[in-house]
Amino acid sequence: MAKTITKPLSQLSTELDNTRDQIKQPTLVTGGKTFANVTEIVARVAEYPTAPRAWYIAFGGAVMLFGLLFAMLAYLISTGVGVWGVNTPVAWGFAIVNFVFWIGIGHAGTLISAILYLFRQKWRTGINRFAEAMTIFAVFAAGIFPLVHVGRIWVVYWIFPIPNQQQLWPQFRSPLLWDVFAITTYLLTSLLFWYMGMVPDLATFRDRAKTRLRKVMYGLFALGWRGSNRQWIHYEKAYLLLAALATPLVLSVHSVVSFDFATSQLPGWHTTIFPPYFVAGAIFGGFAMVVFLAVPARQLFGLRNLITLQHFEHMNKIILATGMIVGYAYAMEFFIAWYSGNPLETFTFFNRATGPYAWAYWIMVTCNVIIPQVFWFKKARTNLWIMWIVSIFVNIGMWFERFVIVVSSLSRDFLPSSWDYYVPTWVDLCTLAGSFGLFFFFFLLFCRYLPIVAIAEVKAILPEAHPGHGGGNAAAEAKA
Amino acid sequence: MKNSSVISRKQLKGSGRTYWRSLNEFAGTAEYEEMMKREFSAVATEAINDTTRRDFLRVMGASLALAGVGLTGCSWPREKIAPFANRPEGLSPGTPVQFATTMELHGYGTGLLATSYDGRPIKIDGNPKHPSSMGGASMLHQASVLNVYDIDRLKSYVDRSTGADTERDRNAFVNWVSNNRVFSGNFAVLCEASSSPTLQALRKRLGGRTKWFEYEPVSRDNEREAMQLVYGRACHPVFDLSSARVIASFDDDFLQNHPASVRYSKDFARARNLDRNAPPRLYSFESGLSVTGSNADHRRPLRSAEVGPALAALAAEIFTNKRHALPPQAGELANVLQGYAGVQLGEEVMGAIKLLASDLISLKGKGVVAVGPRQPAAVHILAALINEAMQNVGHTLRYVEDPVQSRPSHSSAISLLASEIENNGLTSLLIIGGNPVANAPADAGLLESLKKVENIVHLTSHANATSAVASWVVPRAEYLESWGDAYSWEGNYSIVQPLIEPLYNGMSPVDLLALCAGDERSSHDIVMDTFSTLSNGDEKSWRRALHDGTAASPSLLSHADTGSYTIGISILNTLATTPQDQGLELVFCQDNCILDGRFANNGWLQEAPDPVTKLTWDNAAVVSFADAKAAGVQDGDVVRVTLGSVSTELPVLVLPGQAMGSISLAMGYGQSGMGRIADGVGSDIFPLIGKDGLNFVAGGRLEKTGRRMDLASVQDHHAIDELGANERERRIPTLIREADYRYFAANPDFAQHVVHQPADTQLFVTPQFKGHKWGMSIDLNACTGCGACLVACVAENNIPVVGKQRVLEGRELHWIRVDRYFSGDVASPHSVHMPVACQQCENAPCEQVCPVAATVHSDEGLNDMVYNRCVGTRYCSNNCPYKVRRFNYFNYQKNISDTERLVKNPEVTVRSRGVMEKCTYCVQRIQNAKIKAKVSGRTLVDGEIRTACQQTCPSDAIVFGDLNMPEAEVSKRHADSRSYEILAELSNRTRTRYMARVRNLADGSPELAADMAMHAAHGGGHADSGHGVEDAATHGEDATHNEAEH
Repeated sequence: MAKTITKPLSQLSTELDNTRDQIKQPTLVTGGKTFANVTEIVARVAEYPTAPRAWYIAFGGAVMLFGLLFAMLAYLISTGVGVWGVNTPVAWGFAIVNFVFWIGIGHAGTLISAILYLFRQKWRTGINRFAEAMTIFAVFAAGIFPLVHVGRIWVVYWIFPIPNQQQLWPQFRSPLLWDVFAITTYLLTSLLFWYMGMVPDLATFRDRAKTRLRKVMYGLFALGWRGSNRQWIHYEKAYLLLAALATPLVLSVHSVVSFDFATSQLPGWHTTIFPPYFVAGAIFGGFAMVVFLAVPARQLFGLRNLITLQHFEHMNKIILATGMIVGYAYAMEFFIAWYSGNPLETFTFFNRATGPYAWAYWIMVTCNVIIPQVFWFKKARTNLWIMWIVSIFVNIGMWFERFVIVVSSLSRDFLPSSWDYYVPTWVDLCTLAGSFGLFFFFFLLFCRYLPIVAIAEVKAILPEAHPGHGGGNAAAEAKA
Repeated sequence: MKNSSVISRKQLKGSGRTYWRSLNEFAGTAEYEEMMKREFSAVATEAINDTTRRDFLRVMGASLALAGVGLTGCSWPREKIAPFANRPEGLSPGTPVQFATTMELHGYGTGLLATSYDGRPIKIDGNPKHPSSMGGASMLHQASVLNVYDIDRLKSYVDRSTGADTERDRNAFVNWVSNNRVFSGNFAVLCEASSSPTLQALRKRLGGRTKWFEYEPVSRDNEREAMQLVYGRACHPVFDLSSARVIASFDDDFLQNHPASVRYSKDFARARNLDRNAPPRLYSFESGLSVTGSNADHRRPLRSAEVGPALAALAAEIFTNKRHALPPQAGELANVLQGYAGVQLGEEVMGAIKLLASDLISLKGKGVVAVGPRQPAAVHILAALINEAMQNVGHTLRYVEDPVQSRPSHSSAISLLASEIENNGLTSLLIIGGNPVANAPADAGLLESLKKVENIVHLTSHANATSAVASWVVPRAEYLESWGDAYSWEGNYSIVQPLIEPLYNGMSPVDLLALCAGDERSSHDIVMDTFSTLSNGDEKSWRRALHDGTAASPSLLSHADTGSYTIGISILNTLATTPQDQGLELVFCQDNCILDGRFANNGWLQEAPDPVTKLTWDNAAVVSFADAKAAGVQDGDVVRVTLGSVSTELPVLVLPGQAMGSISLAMGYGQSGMGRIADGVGSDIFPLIGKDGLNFVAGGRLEKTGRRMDLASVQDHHAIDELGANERERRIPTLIREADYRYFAANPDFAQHVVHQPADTQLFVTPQFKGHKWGMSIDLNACTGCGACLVACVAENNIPVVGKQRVLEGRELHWIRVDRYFSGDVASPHSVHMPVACQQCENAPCEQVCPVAATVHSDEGLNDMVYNRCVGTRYCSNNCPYKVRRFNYFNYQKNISDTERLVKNPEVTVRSRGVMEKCTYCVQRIQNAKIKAKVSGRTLVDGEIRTACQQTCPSDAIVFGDLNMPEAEVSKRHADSRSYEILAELSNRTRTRYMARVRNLADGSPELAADMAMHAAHGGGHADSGHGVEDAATHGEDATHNEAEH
């Protein structure tokens, strides 16, 4: 119990390499933890009277950046989109780059929670809650940009199909409208999925709560969960259905986002490879973000036995695989640009690699294609420092990927007379920093107050929960 | 107002039937004031105060209401200004009325039509009946209307006679003039160049002792001096470019920087009409690339000092090498020319000279040799000789007498005036316009001399350095506010007719001279008197002249007699080749947009890109690539240009086609105290101009300062890398399709076979346009790139001025732009111009991506922009291949004063922040014409609707009309074999199409070889880059190529 703990959270768990000896059923929870241990490990994060010092520092930073975001948006809305570096021909700049970047980050969550669930990948349980939360907050951060980047935000609701007396409807041929549908659907589904998965754990928190406020708050959101068999049967069914529902969204959201570009006429945008390429890139970036967040979190909150090296190794393999897909897409774009024989297209890609924005292109290639190659080595896959640094590079690379696509294509389009060079302003840079503030603000609050690991699901993969383990009822007990 | 009402009442009494010139003047009548007191007692007390915008509008409104209510019984309108057309029965508020008037620039007038809307002029266009414009207008004419509403205009009479600056009213000034009798003794007038016969008549009235000087920093007096020597009279050549077959320009920018540029552009374009025969061949020898040079078939960059020797080499080629008989008048010229037969100007120049000489000889009577005002008199004399010898005089050119025969030249005016002050004790000086203190030769010491003059009166629109030394500064009425007259370059008399009472109660030159001469008549009566004296016309012919804007008589004497001329041999000896090692040549040019600085406070012109450099808001030291490399500078490096002991600092602009060793410096910038637009923009180069080098001078030095400055160019925003430059070069022939005339004659549809065009299959149902189907055709063979369309569009469509910073950020708002591309050698490139506005695609990519349907297609095929509905995602701009959509990144309407708002066209919505905007094909004009046609129960006729750009285009390159009307000009043009779509491979089905350019290159010229190589390369040279450029021969017979599946 919280009172008895005197050591900081981060020293309460031990590091064990569970990535060896893969012939046997892999151990996904190390340290011989019991059901009770699991509950204890996760719940104490929220119950510990003080958070780790690093949390306060990080939260302080996040609040400041979040404030910066508000200031930047206030300046933007009061003055005009001209405070950014956008111009003619580069009418979309950082705002759209950030939007696509954050939406991409959001991908890993749904993938882990839905697709891996359907494929019975049990290792997902250690990180799914975490990744889902990341998804939600990334979509928050992403969702701001399409709204504020418009010239007249006060009429932005015209984009939504709201019945009105003038019978004016949005224009259904526009991919921006598809975006609106895709993103709202994605956000709602992800939110629902995340919240529903959290209900049993919230009930656990409620039951362990010591103060009135915690009792009420967790109780309110636990929706009267009792852990009865009937509830579990309904819950499992609903979870499966939601997982099935969310699975196509993993593919659809970023495909639709890529339509913004792919359906246009612009060389460098107008390409059929975009939907799969965007999805792969999003998973790539999303997993990198999970690694980036999970490495410090498990250290700080003492989750080393629940989020183990094995989890990381799996994720790093996915990063390696999706990174290769992304690299293939980069190569294929060049091939098609040449093979199509379209001189405009050819130029656009040569211009990317050797033109004024070549620096951005090579940052992208280095970060996304070259650096993740270290994951061919097991040592790199299982070394926390290496993977953490690689994950940072991948995130930088993925941000630059969107920058290269959006900006370099626009800056040199059809008529050479219009060519121009886009330079972000300080407002652009501060808004980008501020969006990280928003993300971390919510994420750190989540870490402090909500079950950051799915307790019930982790228990289900403990050896005790296996029917052959001897305690056939163990799983049911564990969940209670 | 008080004073003007006194004057107008006086005038009303004096002239029999009562007339009023404008509603404002009407507001001064007794009846009006009485009514005002009765009806609008609160307003009336304000109405007689100084005219602020609010009052102005209120008076307008009130007087219009009164005109409708109180005066319906009168025979109305009974005014001296006869509206040109569209005169409504009675005045319906909100109906624009057009008046003919004249704008005088550099001493020559251009006939214009001014559109007045509820009493305020909002738009200027060419007067189709006037031979000087024939309906076209330059960017300067277009922008001149903004000068009326310039908030920095001088608004009061400033009295400095007592020592301190006191703001006084008109009465005080009139009293001062009449009480002190300052203009009766020993006095002089220093006037801007003017051909006004009324001013000359007043000059006579002032008395014989009056000294009359004219001064402008750039004049055509070298030519005048030469013609005086050759023909014995001050006269100037007037070309008939429409019948010329070979034109040679020696440093003469007759298509842009010339008093007759509008007419010349018309004629030049007409001569290039391919229905008749090959276009005329244009040779150009000049230092800085001019609009004329950029349109030349053969252009050779030469330092300005070498232009004279080049012309001499031409003469030597004609008369010595080709042994063409020298006219007897030229006598011993042969000896002089001996020295030029082997003049060293480089192989390329000499090659062009040889070709030109053959052309001139073989096309006798069909050639024109034009020499620019920068060149010394000797060069003009030589040109006159060649024109005579080649029998061009009487055919393609005639000489027209200068309207003012007796006056010292501009170049000597300042020193003569100074000596007049020093030696003859001049006591009074009247300075009409200009700013000689700032722009007279720096070493003439004008300022010191002026300080000795007791009474100086300066008539000026803006306070400037000259008005700082004046005892009285008089606000000048703009031409749209005053009566006057002028001759046009080709000799037609035309009347300057006002549209409104002077906004700030200013005076016109006629008013002021009349006051000084003690002439009590109104300026209207004086001008009318001049007209009737000159033409023996009655009031009827006067009214006719006012209505038409021109009159058959009087016109200037024109003589085309050959033979009676003399060539002074001695002066031709001055045409020596200049030594090569004198340092850099500095060429002082008039800015294409703001001239000598007189338009520096005009935002439209400051933001209008220079037609050649594409620079806005600044001047630069334009240098060649070779010189830039030698000096180690590039675009935007601030350099110190030094001449002797004076220097000025300005940024470098490296321009292809600039002559090596020559730096072009545009004047008129670096103003201080003129106004909030002009001040601090660019650098003042006048300190470099001395008596010895008024136009160009050798011995300049260029030093790097190490500082950099951003140049606000609307094109080539940043230095381009090799990859981009190569690609640009590759794309230019696909965008601007051109061929030599012989290739065109053999392959009339060559323009159809430049770009591979995939099958045009559509996902959506293709709409049918059953009613009107608007389309536009832009003839690149006619377009000179002058930029008039751009300013016309700004004026018509209320396009805001965004300022230098925004242009730097790539946020200029011009709906039509003129793209300028160079290709070939940077030292002597081939240049092309292409106006690009919204192409009004039938299958518009912008429409499909707008999430709120703010840009939609009309059933007439217009790509409509619904400003109200726009949320500003800018997706449409990203998806527009032509990048013609413009976004309001800020609220550009916020800081516009009430006065400036008066220039807005009420027919066009003013856009706010966060909204996309673009060319609409002037939809307001389309709708107005449709309504008019519907009201009178008829169908529209072709040519009835003209877009603003089309209307002003001096070369008639733009044609707009209904494509469903087979006989419409635009339909014919679209059906022409030269007509093509740009980026047709995108299947956007643009409604604007371009007509390919056809050049006429001389046999044996490198340009012809390059053109042939380009067309030959289409056969197989592009195999590895796919089918970007296709083999013309393979598809030569494929008539339905556009629809063909590949």
